[in-house]
Amino acid sequence: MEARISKVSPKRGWKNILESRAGNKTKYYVLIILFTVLFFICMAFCFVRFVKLAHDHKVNSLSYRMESLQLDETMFGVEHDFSSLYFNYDYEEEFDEHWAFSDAYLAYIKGKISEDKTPYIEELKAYLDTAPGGEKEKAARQYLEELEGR
Amino acid sequence: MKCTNCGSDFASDQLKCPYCGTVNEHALKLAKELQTYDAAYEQKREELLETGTNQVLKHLTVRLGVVFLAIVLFSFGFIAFYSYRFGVRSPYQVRGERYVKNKEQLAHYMDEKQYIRAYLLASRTDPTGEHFENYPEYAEDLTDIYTYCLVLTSVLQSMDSMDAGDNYPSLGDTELTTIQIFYSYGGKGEVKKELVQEVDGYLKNYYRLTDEEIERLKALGTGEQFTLDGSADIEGITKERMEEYFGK
Repeated sequence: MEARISKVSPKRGWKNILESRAGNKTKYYVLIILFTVLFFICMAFCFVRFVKLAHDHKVNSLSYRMESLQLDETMFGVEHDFSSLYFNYDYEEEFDEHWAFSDAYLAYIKGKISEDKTPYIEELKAYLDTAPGGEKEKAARQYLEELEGR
Repeated sequence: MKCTNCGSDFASDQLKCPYCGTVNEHALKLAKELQTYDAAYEQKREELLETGTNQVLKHLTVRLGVVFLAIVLFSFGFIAFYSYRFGVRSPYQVRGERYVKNKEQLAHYMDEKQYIRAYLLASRTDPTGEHFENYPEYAEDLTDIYTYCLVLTSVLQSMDSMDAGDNYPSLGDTELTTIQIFYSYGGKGEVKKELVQEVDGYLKNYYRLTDEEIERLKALGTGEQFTLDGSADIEGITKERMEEYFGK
């Protein structure tokens, strides 16, 4: 008698394990391992996402940005104020003093390259009328002197 | 018990008479029964162990699955809540009273001509980012300010390099494209006019372009080549002019 060849191909892969061919125990072991692996993948994703969110939250907090701005001032000087304000998105009222100085600094920059320096000199003088003192006022006086050619 | 053959006394659990060797049928029967019971017992024990283990594994799988699923759902929920509650541009941060306050603040900055600050506020508090859909009445102006900021930062960077004693970072392709975009797109309001004046000032006073060249740059169509002194080498020509003017 001719040997019959089954038309049904043997089951392969994870379906084989989860269905009839594997013993019951193996099925449960595979499921437990699968759950555990997926669980740790999800937890790793959540952890990374949380760390990023927490970092963003910290970096965007007002106190952190204020500290960062003051650190920049200490390290690079008050001229760096505008860059710090711009790149850290420091738009809040708490940064009023720094924005006032930045406007004066931009006026100095424009005045430095312009032939007609008068409006920029006026702007610097207006700033100095209400200047808070300290490094900023000192720098603004230097800018004014430079523009006036003294 | 007594042997059925020789009548001697011997223990009833012995399979043969120790004196004559006659088989003890009663003990033999008991031994066979015991063997059958033992086999049945072993089989039952194996069956019970198998079923028990399966039951334990089944419960473990289900419970573990439920616990893991609960933890995963909780974690994702927590992350979603955290990003909604504390995210920089999340709807929570810009709705209700905050939105009203932001709009007032934005209007104040625009009135005070603190355009960059207004742009920063809008950009930081709009879930659509640079599209400014949260502030439709200022959207055009804010887009202009955004492109102006790109021009300004490149000019400031260039000036920093100049002050540091490096080579003159002149008007490169990137800066030129940014300036072209600034001139071509956006609104036509007062803010745009002011900003155009500022950019004209940088082009004229810093990059040393003439009024006629600036007007030509403004009128330049898409795909057209901007030239200075008949040459497309904008970088080289502006560099020469800057060196000549600023004296380096």
